[in-house]
Amino acid sequence: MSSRGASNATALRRLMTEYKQLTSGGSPDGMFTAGASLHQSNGFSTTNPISLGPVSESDFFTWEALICGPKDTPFEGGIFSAKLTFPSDYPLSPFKMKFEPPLFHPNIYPDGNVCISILHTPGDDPTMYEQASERWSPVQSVEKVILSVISMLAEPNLESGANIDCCKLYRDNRQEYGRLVRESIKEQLGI
Amino acid sequence: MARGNQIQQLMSDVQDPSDFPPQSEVPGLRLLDSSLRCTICSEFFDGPVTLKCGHCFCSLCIRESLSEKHECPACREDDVDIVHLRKNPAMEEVVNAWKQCRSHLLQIVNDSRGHVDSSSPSKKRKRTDESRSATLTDPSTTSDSSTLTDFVNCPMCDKRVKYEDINSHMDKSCKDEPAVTLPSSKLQWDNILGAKSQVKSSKKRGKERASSLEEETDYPLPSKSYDTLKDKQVRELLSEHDLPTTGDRKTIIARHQRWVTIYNANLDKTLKMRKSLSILRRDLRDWETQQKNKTKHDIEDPTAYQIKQKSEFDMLIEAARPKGTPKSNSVTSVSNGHKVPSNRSGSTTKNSSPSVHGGFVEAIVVDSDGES
Repeated sequence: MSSRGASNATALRRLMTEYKQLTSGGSPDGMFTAGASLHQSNGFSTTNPISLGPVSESDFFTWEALICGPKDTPFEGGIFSAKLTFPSDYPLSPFKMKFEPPLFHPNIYPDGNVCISILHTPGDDPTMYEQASERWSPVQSVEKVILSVISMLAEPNLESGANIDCCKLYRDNRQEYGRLVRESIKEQLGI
Repeated sequence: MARGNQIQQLMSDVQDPSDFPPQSEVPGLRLLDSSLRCTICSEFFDGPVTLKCGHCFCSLCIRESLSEKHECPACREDDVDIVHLRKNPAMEEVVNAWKQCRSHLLQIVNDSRGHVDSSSPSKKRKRTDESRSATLTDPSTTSDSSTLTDFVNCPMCDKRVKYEDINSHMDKSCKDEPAVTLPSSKLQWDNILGAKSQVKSSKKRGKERASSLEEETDYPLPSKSYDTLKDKQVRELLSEHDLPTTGDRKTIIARHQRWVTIYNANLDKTLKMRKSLSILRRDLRDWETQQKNKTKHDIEDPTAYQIKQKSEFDMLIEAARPKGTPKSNSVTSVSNGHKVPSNRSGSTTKNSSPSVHGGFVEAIVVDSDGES
């Protein structure tokens, strides 16, 4: 892992710039708090729903994100942790995002991997539904992707489902879907 | 351990637009810094080139990106090719000038902000302006014309007044403020004149550069269709440029491709900024070691990898067999999942790694199931 990190200076520098910009509040939306103390989630508020940063200083190619469930959705009140894994040719290739523990959502595979068009390279199209215009491009950033994921939490895209059971449930029985999501969040938070 | 330190050091070394105060405090500077950066690598433009849609990137960055997909990364305009790249020497000049004055400017901005914080704002505002105009007279940051426009003749008393003070000067019916008294303005002029002579010298350098630009005769290397070339011919291409000819066909083709890319990217810079061929060769060697490291990393321990991925391999084998059994499997799991979805997500974790294929196959199965 770490040898890969040392090998690609471009990717490393780009990641560090992104991280630095997140930490210094350079992002226009001000939605992000980045920091090494990721696990102190007590600083969370509605204005700062996300925390983002490398898991450790020795490996800049693995990040952790803590995301608060968006308001007025079944996910409200939940805090979800996701692992971001960056390839050595970032930003030419997109990173991978995996919720740990997995999230019950139509666009999240049962193992937690996120299926969202912005994280797919123009070449691979697992669902055959995606427009090339919504795919990954090197000018995208971690920040933009996370924003997309948050909006995906609020509005699932049934055309490119990753969790088919969940898709069906969402389509046929919205109430039950909401109940299950809320239940899983409660379980996760230990309430 | 050493790596951690190295990253710490690199991290402090990283410069980004947020070094400057936000838009609300000092308008424009942060924006300026970020607009002089390539959106792919987030560094200052290195050999900037423009696409036909007008977007600008480092030559090397966009060449790498175009080799993956023929579109503009920013606006996704189609059918963009390497032949559409146009050099942008004006942008390069701007970036060079900005790089030179950046740390200087940053220091001034930070200093003046420190002053503002420590004492009454109204008085200090003026001082900030003064220190800023002082930087403007600095020959390295500006040309003489912009220094001159800082001062105008008062239409009423014909005195030289700072442009930004002219209104207040006239409002006070030309009763002088201390800042525009003769000795101090003379001092200013001395500054300007002194600056002027230095500007001249830097202009000369500019001319030299321009003349050397005209001598530019290098042409970019053509891209080859390697399928039509034999190994020997590829090796000849490599030896033409004094490059190593070792390795199998895949290696030498990759090496030549990369060489063409970095060679042509280097040509997109002005002559003064170009790297020498020996440095390019070193870059190529570094790139190749990187690639080797990458592949080595991928298959570090084949047996352990096989054991670890056994379930995935089994899954793939299963999926490749006639579709009868997996179909019924996924259908039953769907009906299970309806009642206890958390269980389902638990049970499928094992199968999840080849999620792309698995998801796709399942999608078809369940869709037909839903319709019936």
